[in-house]
Amino acid sequence: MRRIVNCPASTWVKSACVLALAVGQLVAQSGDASKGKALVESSGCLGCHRIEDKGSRTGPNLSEIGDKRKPERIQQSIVAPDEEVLPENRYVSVVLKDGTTVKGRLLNHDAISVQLIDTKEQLRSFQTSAISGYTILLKGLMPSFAGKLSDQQIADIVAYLSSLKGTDQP
Amino acid sequence: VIQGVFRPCLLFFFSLASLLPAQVTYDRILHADREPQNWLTYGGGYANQRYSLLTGLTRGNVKDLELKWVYHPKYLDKMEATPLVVDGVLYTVQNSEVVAMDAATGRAFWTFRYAVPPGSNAYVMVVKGLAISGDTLFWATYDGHLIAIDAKTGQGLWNKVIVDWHKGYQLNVAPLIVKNMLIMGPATNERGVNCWVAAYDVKTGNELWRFYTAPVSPDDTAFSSWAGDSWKTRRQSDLGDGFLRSGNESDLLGDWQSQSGLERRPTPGRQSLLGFGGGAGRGYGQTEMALSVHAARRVRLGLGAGPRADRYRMARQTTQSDALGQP
Repeated sequence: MRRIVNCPASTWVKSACVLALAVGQLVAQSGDASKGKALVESSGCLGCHRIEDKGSRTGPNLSEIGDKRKPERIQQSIVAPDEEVLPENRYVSVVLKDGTTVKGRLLNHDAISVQLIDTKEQLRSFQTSAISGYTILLKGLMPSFAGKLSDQQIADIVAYLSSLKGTDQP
Repeated sequence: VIQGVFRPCLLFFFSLASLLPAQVTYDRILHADREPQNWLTYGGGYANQRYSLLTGLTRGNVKDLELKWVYHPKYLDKMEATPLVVDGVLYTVQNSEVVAMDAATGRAFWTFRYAVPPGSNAYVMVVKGLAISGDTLFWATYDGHLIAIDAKTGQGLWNKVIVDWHKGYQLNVAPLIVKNMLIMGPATNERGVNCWVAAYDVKTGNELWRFYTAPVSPDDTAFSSWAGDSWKTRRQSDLGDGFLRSGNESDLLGDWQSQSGLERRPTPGRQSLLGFGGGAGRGYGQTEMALSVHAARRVRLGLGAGPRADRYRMARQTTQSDALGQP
């Protein structure tokens, strides 16, 4: 059984400096949360992400992202998503012995098995003895929107996401 | 401007979520007998039959059963919950953790943790089981909370205080789902507090109706069966045994009959104690009631043997749920 882990790029320090400048400029721009909400809902973001009871569970849930991340970090995730992928948001590609590939968000894995939620939101579990191998994907999961959205549009989305605090739980 | 700018967020993922059917629909629960490989409610279905309809295991081959896997929970407390099984995923709860695992291997998909406040009913640790509706699991906790959990991811959706454990209440029941309603009732620790059966909205946890199992005022039909002011404290001192009674606990799960729209729910109400000394039938203790789940209306009443059984008449508790209408 073969397992492969993609390592972060070696140019991390250089790209981080460029990002710091870009993010600093964007954060200084104030955003409109209502416009950001419309952008998120109309643009396909919910094709991967979930907010409250809308959207897909295959990507990170953003319902409480405003409580978990500062605006600067949210902005960075939009313009440079590969810089940091949290362990709970990693993806895995499992190759079965018949050559079939199953991809999904990694939920759990150990020496003898791997569990994921696939693209149809089904919970799947595989015994490593019954598969050819699996690859944990750390990069290339989400495209960067730097240069594809205007600074103002990104600021609007950041304003909206920063406002998502989830529900108060006693 | 935006059109054409966005492309799928993930390189190989695109959403099918909006096209996916709800995981456990009312129709699936109603016809749970059609999928005996699953276990969709605490009792197995609305018939609450509590035994598997699978036929592969027989008296003849039961001796051939072999250990397939073992799951070690984090805590050493008792495990008394009846697990739910939905399409190969087993959901169960113990102590302060809900876990989803692969039914074939026992490997966990996710674990949901909820810390019960110290000093609450934590020592009770009674959790009979979970309920599921759509893609949402429900856990009624012994410190009086109702928690909704995403069955796919284990993420908490909402956490609502249903009863105040400071007053002696606790939730031990595995809730019953009927359409958009989650039906359950609290238990107590021999405190003199009234209990009830209530329905809660599965989306919000908001209460839809409530049916008290002991009188709340002299106008209640059950009032006449309580001696003196005992209905106020639910202390049945006339029995002379010194026990502080609870208000007819309603933590036993009833079944639901789709044809009549009735839920049949036993209220043990310290059944054995009530029966002792001739107190049987103290309204609505030691009783089997039929409630309309659409209006909290008691439409049928069966009583344990007791001298006051004939005092009960058909009656209706006024609740705001009347606005919900009939099925």
